[in-house]
Amino acid sequence: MSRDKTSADGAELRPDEGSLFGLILAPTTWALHFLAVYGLAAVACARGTKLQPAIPIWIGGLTCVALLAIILVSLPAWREFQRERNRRTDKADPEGRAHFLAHAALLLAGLSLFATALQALPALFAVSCR
Amino acid sequence: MNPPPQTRSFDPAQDPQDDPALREAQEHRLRQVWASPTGWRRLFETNNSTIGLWYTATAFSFFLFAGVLALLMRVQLAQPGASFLSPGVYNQALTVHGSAMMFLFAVPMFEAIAMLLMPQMIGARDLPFPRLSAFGFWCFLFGGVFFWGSILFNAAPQSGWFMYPPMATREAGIGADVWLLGLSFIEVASIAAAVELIVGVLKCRAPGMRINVMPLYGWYVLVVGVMILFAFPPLIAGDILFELNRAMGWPFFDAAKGGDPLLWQHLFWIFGHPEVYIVFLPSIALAAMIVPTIVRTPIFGYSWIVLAAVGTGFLSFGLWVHHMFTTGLPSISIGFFSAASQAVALPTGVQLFCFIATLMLGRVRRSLPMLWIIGAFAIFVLGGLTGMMVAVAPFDWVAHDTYFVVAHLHYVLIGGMLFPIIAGIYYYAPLVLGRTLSERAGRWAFWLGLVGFNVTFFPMHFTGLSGMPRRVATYPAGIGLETLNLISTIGAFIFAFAIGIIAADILLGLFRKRTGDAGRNPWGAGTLEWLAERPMQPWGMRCAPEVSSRYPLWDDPDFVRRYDEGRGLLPDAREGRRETVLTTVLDARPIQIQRLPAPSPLPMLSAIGLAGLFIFPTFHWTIPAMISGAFAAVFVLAWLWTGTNDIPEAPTKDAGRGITLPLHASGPSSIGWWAVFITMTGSSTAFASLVFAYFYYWTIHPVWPPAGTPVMSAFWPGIAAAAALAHWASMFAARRATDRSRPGLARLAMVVGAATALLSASALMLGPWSAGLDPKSHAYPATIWVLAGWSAAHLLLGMVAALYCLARSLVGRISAEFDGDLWNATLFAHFTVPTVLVTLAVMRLFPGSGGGP
Repeated sequence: MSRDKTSADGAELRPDEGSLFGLILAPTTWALHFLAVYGLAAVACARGTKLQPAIPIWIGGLTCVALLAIILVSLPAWREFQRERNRRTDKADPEGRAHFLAHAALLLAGLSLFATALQALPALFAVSCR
Repeated sequence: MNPPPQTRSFDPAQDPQDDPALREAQEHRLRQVWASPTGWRRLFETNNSTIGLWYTATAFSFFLFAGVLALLMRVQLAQPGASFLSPGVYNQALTVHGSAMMFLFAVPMFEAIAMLLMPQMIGARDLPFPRLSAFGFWCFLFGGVFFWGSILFNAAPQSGWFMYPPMATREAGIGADVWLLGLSFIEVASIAAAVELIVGVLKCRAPGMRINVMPLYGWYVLVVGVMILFAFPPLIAGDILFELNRAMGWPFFDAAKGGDPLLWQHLFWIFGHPEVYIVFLPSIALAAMIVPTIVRTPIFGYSWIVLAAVGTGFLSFGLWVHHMFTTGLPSISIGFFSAASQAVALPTGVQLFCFIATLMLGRVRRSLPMLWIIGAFAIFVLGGLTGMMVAVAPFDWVAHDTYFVVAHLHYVLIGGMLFPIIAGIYYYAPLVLGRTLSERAGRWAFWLGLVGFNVTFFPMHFTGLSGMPRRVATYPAGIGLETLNLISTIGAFIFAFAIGIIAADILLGLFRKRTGDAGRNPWGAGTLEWLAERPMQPWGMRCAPEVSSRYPLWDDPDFVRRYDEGRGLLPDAREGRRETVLTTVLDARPIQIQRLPAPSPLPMLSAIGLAGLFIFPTFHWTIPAMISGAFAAVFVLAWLWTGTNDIPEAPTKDAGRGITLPLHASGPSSIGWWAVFITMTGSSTAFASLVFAYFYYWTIHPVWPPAGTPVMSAFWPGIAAAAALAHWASMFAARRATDRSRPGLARLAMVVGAATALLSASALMLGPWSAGLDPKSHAYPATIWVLAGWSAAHLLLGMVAALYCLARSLVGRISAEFDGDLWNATLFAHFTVPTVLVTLAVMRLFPGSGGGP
């Protein structure tokens, strides 16, 4: 990286702290879980007749891992959000911006938890390769 | 090395902008710099407001044409057994109607409106790559006219807008090729727009417009731009396989030779379902701009709407198989996609509730934009509810391929996309056309449109449930379909009449000023695009104002005066160059002044060359296509040479307000590097789709590679891998040597980089060739060849990049300070070399391919 991070003197010219990636960690986990369970079921149905009876166990395990992972990747956002719960998310300062990103990340984590759990339901009552 | 931004003390009491004479001189200079070329040279314009307007008008024209096709189909269906259209013409009409509405209207309309309005919403003078916008527009225009024109010559595709093989691969005539090549060309324009808009949102916002105060439209554009990068490339990959199947007989979708028609359905719908949200989100984003203005209340639940946009963006990629419920997939797979299809209702509902809450918090003024928004919500919710019905697989088995689905998708698309766009047209007409559209005509259009739409499409739920199939030119009498179809036809003409009123209102306004100038900011909006002056000025923004809230025009009564007096960054254009401020991604702190290119014929010429490369193969004119492609390459190289990584006259410039900013950056802090990164992300998605094809075949074949496949020796793949790694190392070494001011060594490394890229590409092709793999014999060798070809093509581009850097170095345009070209070429190699290695692993190390266990 050729960017010189130290010599900017004015406060308004400091580089950003934080990143947008915190926002997409939880939904990315949902996407990976989705790919994993879909890929597993598709491959087991197409090629692995021996694997088929174990599909629900695999899906259950993967879902637990994914739910746990969503919670873990959302912890930094949770801590940031808890720092000052009543802070407004529309303040045009770095703290307001960080608070907003934490809030949005937590909302996305909630959606990801819901969608991941819903995703596992077919394993409970639709286990069939036909 | 990039010089850092610097500040010095700035005393507002001694603001140079206090001098009216200076301000007038500044305005004069800005006007000259941003003035459009006159006469026929106006075609060379790159300014976002001009290109955006052309783009919007073109997309709207294609919408009207596609609508006419719908009317023809409705006439044919008004009575059972009618012979108004022959089945062949009917099939062309339905295919072109669907494809044009999606590829020539819905997606380009998003790009057009975003190009036209977004820069000013976020306080930028223009988008970061104006010539790329112009290039995208010309690609869209040429590809669109070619595709749409085919139906006038009775040569249009006939297999429906999703072109399912084996029907489409075996379709006689050039129709399917027109679809594949013409629309692939337009997909290029979409990727270009995605690059432009993502970088625009992230890097070009006004100083202080932090990511949490950016207008919601920016969030939606960001999400949709990223979605395009992951949704369009699978279709491009599918198009490549499809055209190879049709033109060369490579049996990707031919079950007799190991292919599978279902692979196309997967690739098409991995694109096709996210695409629904790609057109829905930016249209509902207009509602996010309109609703707060109309009720004069800040949007309720900003974070929740961001959640909805980002969440929908993700979930929309987990829905594609719900278009394939009847293809015999395992029921557990169907269950997954049924679940995801239900889950996506959650974020969609959240944003509607946020809009409703905003409406309840403020006082709704009677106005045309609001009328269309409310109509949009009502229709869209109905379409969403039938969507929940078809997401339930057993119901879909009944409704699939019937008019029920036609009703569902029109409720979703017209409610979710068309109505909000019309609301946007009424809302932004004062800004773009300089006048408000007629209130009386608008009310007639709305009520006729709402009634006509429902009269057309509501009966289709019932014809569908009665079993009337889609895409069939007629239906028999006596099974209860006559009345409902006649009602639908009548409704379609009422609806078309409403659209006609709107089109006439816009057209009349262009030719004679019927209603007077609406004045500045007639709706009393709070966001930056309404700073636009009266009469309209060409500069986009007078200056880059400091923003400190979501609705600066509401929150700061002095904001407009300070803006008009140029009390912001870049109030002047002393050097006679178009410029805009670049800021940081999260906090929008100014970091650079970006010089923007002046009008140029090169984007148009590049698009013309590329048009030949895509269009001539339809008629099997190989030599003209190659000549045209060569012209395109020359024009693109000239474009790069004459306007990227320019060496500025000074390293930094005073941007005003005591801030001095660098005029140049290279590497990860430059927008060029971002553009390469984003483009290559899209390219990697296409490559991943090709690799997916390989593994998809593996799942359906008990033995893969098929028995009797010739074994490839390790020799050529080994050479290819070694040369690719050497290419990578050379490009890296060239950059390091340049950083240490050793140009001789750097040039040597560039020569080695080019030579190794060529060697690796050649070895990559020699592997399957020396093994005697015949791509026409089976899907396995065909897949190996397409992977090898894809990687080799990237290596050849890497070679061109290395030679380009060498030429730039020899003329003294690459140095330790100005090494942007090298950073970009190296970044390209970071993507290419892993592509090559994955290809080689699939080709040679996969079990059974000769080298594996």
